[in-house]
Amino acid sequence: MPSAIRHHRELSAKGLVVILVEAQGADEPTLEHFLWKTFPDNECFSCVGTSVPLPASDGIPHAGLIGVDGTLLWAGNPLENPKQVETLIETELAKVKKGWGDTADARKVRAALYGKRDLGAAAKLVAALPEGDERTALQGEVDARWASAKQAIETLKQQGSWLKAQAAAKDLLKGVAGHAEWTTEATTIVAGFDTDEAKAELAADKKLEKVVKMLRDKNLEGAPKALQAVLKGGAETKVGARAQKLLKALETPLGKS
Amino acid sequence: MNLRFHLLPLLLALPVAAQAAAVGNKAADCTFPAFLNGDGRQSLKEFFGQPVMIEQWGTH
Repeated sequence: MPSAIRHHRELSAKGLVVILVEAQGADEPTLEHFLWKTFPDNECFSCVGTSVPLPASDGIPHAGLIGVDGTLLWAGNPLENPKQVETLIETELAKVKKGWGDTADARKVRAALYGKRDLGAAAKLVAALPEGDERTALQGEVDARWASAKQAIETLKQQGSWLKAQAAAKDLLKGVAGHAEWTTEATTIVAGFDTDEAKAELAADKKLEKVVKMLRDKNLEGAPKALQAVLKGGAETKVGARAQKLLKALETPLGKS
Repeated sequence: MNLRFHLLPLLLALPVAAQAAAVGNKAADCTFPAFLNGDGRQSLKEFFGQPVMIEQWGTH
């Protein structure tokens, strides 16, 4: 766990994604309470147990590194051979920055798409390529990234993370500059945060962020009262539902954990 | 007593396993439960283009 948290802290800005999957049957409230109590600095993607595409293991911790192109590069105990894993991560992060592929065109498109997160530039580069398999494949990657980015904003809103959703929408708008159709759509998405309903969600989320900061500062005792204050003004919002979930988590006994 | 009849309900209750990958092969897609600290992406394929470290760990 601490090494995963460190990897996330040091390398997520360069593109590394760290996903923590609890594998001993904890439910969501127990997991959330445990994480806040034990690892308040954890900012990795974290979820309850689920089936993941890694080779079977007879123990934990068990981990796998999936490369930029979806290939499983390594699997094993993350506490063994940490140097080997770090070298593999560095190699993959270099691909994020410089792009990868058999041709200079593919590398250029991927560097724009994944390294700079510039969907507009990537789309423009793809449009200039000759018709063929490479262009079709790269167009598919650009389209998938655009669709995923839009869906992620909706998911964040549904999950009650409106500040993150708004930031993602602004990033998306910035990232599609030069692509007229996507700019129009992204502008509409950003404008969607200016409605009364959205403003109520954002206001509630600002209050909730203060509670999250309390938790990061290890103030678990004061958090429930602060959460009640969030719920007083915004119980009916999506953010309120998230606050309610967090309150339930903090009230969940950890037992032997 | 046939052991299979005892194990069957347990086996049916297990989640459908994602296709286990071997090192060097493409990892099958999978959808994760709601993330704490997520960014709205919920399936492995949405992280294509970035290296992904998945760590299974325990709270006990």
